Amino acid sequence: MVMSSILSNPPRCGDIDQPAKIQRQSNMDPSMLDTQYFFFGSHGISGLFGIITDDRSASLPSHLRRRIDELSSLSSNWDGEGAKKIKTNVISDVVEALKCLMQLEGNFREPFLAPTFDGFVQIEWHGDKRSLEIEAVETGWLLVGTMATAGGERQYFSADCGISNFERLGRFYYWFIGTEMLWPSL
Amino acid sequence: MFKIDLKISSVSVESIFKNAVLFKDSHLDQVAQKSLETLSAFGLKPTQIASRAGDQIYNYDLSFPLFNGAGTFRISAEKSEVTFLNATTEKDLEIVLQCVSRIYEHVPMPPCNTSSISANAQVVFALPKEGSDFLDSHVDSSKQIGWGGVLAYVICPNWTPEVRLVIDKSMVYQDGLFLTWSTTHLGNNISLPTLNAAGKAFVDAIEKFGLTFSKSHGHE
Repeated sequence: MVMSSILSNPPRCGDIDQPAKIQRQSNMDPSMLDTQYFFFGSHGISGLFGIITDDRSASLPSHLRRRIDELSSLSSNWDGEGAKKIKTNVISDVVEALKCLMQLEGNFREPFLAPTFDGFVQIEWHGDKRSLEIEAVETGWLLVGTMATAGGERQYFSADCGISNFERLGRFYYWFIGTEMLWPSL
Repeated sequence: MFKIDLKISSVSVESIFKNAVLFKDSHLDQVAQKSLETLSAFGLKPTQIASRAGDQIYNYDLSFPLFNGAGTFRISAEKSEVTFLNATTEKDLEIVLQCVSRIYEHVPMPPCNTSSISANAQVVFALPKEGSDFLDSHVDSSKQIGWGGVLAYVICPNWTPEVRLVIDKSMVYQDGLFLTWSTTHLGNNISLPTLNAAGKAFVDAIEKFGLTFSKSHGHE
């Protein structure tokens, strides 16, 4: 479409007579004139990102994949109260976290994935004694753990974690499944 | 205000290191590992990361592409540079800024004095009539100036360094504009809020010349 528009509106003589100008526009962005047609006719960066995320989620259990697809397809105001649409990068971060957690030793327990009002996703595990909630936010991961004590009281813990610090994220998962006894941030 | 629509844009961040880094001190293996950890979610694959040892003194680099070559990262003895081309929508730009900020936040880099943040965009006018009016307003036939264009150093609220702005005629879109912005940022702590603030300054800069994007940019 753009190519045909370029062909029907070729650069004007004035432009061609100004090599410095041509050089500058093409120097600032070398592929702008050469490759934009490919991307216009293709998926663009966000389209490619969606395909990449979809591709990377292929190794997740089918139940989680379906849930990821559901979350991806939520539109703005999905709750009827103005909730934000979940951005692709948030979905992508959740997929990466789940893939890394699945590779940890021990049985992987499938979490529940819940959208949040702000357009993020919460990954939740609930056990008899312990629960773990990991929320993907702009700055990384926010974690909240709860544990029932022998006396029946409920203890709450919280921590944060860098977006790609999956090793640390794994320690919190180990805490949930009981391999790690103490809340890792202590 | 003349309303404009984004057709295609590019974003680039370059950081010059305080001192040139010898190959033996470059820790390219760690740079590669952190890059992969950080950007695998953006489709980076291990075999896409390439290093060139060169003469193993100062002539070396490590680089990788992202999004089918729309993005590139390169680190050498003197500088690091991240460039994204072909961003055509707000969503594209959001992903680009996410990528750039993650590289700067997670990939180990030597200290630097200043970073340069630049962007350019091919835009068209939302209303073609307005486009003609804007373009005509920069013609001065009495001085044989076919088109004056704009080169300005703009002071923007909430962004301390000057923004260098160039408004040129587009070579690609008839009656469109080619906009170029560049500014600096102290150090190399390029976070997402920093990039969003720079983007806001770029939008503010063109508004001083009567141009405004018909949709808000940077956020959905």
